[in-house]
Amino acid sequence: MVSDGPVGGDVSPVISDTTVFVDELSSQTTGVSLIAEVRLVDGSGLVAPPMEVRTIPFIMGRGTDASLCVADEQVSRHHCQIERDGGNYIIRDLGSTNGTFLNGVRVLICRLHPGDQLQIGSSQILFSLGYRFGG
Amino acid sequence: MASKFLLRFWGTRGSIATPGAETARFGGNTTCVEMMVGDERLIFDAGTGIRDLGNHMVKERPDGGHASLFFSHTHWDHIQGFPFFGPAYHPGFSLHIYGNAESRANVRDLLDAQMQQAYFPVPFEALQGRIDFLEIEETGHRIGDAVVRTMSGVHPGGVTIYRVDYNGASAVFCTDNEIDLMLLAGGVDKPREGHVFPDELLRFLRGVDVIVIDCQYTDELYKLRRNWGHPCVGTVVALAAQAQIGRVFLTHHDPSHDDETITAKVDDAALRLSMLSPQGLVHGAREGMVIAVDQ
Repeated sequence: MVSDGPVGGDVSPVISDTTVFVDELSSQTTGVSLIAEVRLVDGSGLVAPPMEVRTIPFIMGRGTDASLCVADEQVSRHHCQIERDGGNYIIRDLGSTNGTFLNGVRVLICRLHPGDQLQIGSSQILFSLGYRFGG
Repeated sequence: MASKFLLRFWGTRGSIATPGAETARFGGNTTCVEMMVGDERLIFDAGTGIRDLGNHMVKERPDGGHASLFFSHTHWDHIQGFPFFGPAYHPGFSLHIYGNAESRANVRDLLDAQMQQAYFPVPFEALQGRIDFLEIEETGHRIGDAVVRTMSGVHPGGVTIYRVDYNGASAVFCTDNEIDLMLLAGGVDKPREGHVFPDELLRFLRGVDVIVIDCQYTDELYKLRRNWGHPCVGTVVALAAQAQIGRVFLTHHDPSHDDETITAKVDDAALRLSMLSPQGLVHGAREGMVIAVDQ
């Protein structure tokens, strides 16, 4: 099911769990591709624009070399990363000091689904999936 | 410091596998939980989730390895994945298999039976892994530096609860246990009496860091499915509070429940536990989730 609003930029509608399963071959032939995005919500509640998960692994942390740089002293330099496993996106804690929380659960590894909320330090990261049309 | 006591959910669904988009978040495979304690791999139940675990094990160590496999009981949803468990076919792997108290003598026969030709094309004898069937001493069983203890639960045909202690941390695997029927008083029909659990059960669970516990039913659904062998939210929450359990992972999700329904059930349980035991946490067990028991 497709929701009403676009995620932002040139990207696509947000999709729900019911549309996670994309036939990749079909995507290639039709020019429709699945993309993952994250949105950073800092400790004061400010929401950053969505950022596409382009590089894999997608490292999130305090380090300036992280794919998503989180300016938060409770966040480790390389805190956690998003990986791909076939058609799935996976979150993996990278041995962080204060842990990676997925919907409130401290996890080491877990498959991500649209709508999942990650917490590292005092920052939240919202995960979503969308489609890009036109290859 | 890296954790040496990991727990991973390979299957969280009860009764029958439920693939599909509406169950993708919590998962559709039936029960299988892995604990890595130091160098030892402990597997609990062989529902359909064990197939992916087997693939993972062979990929990780193509030349072979070892694991201990514990069965809570031998109903379909807890054994059905075994014929698809890759390491059992691999001459480089060895398996120690432990059955529950009631079916201990015939776990091998039951696994063999589900691989008879009428049900499955490959016979048990074709398994090339080294498979030994062992018994657990009631006083506890040492596997590496971990100690595994058991207790009987209530389920049609019997069920075993497992507790694993390792290096000061502990986890319990408690599936298909209708703890409502273990109550000495109170319960869903007698809310004024609270929940009075047997001392033996509370002692067994006291202070564990993590419990993986069947919580298939809401309180309302339980009233329609009493004696089916599964507990309800109110009783699980009361037990977690009284036993002072750290983190509670609700599992054996009902096959008729989609992700939204399970989320609502988990949220309800979390709210109720927060009122009884502020330090306790409730989560929904999610297929593919890895947690550290000792963090």
